[in-house]
Amino acid sequence: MAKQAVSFTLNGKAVDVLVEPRELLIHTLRENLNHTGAHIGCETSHCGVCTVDVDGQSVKSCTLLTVQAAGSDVKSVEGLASADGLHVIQQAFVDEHGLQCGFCTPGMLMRAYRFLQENPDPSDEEIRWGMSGNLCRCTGYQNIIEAVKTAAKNLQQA
Amino acid sequence: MDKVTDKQKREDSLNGVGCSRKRKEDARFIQGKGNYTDDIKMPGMLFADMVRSPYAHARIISINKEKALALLQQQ
Repeated sequence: MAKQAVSFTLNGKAVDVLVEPRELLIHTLRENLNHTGAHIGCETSHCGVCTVDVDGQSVKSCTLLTVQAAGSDVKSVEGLASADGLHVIQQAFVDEHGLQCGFCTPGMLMRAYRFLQENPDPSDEEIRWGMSGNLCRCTGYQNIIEAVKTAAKNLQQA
Repeated sequence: MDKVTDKQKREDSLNGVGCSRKRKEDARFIQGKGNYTDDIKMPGMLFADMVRSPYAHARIISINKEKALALLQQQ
């Protein structure tokens, strides 16, 4: 099938790609745009390691066709830190030991980024629900929840 | 006394034993620069696919690799 030209914004920068209509956003990000922060864990929308932010929503990028992302504003883990340094959420993950092998971390960070905008002052229970679409095979959930809690606290003080 | 000072005091008295340490590898993992095997791209990189026998117990008579090699030629 003929390739299609798709334009969207990735971490604030306009990008144009030529993709097959069947191509998934995660593949475009990783193969075409060399943004390998978001990973592929299951390719069936279970694990959440491919989570990115699309137009203000957490999206598992193996669920979305690239052509569906046309014109949208995509944010990936590469765009989380700014010129001023690490994002508060990234720092919280380091401080609370919220990662071990690091494979699920980009997805966790991007989900936490959106979740804390949806709910800036969550309870433990709400964090568990809010982050439940992201799996960690190291099973480091306790510290991930601590990290999100710390991030929420620090974001509110900022 | 708040939690942080308590922890600091305890860790100081332990002289390093049992203290939590900042990890060196976190900086790249939290910025999407993990460089896992699947993230690596090299010029002329090929992909391998294992073809396993559909038979649990059998004798190998021949390995017909022509079709697989033809794929390489196409590259």
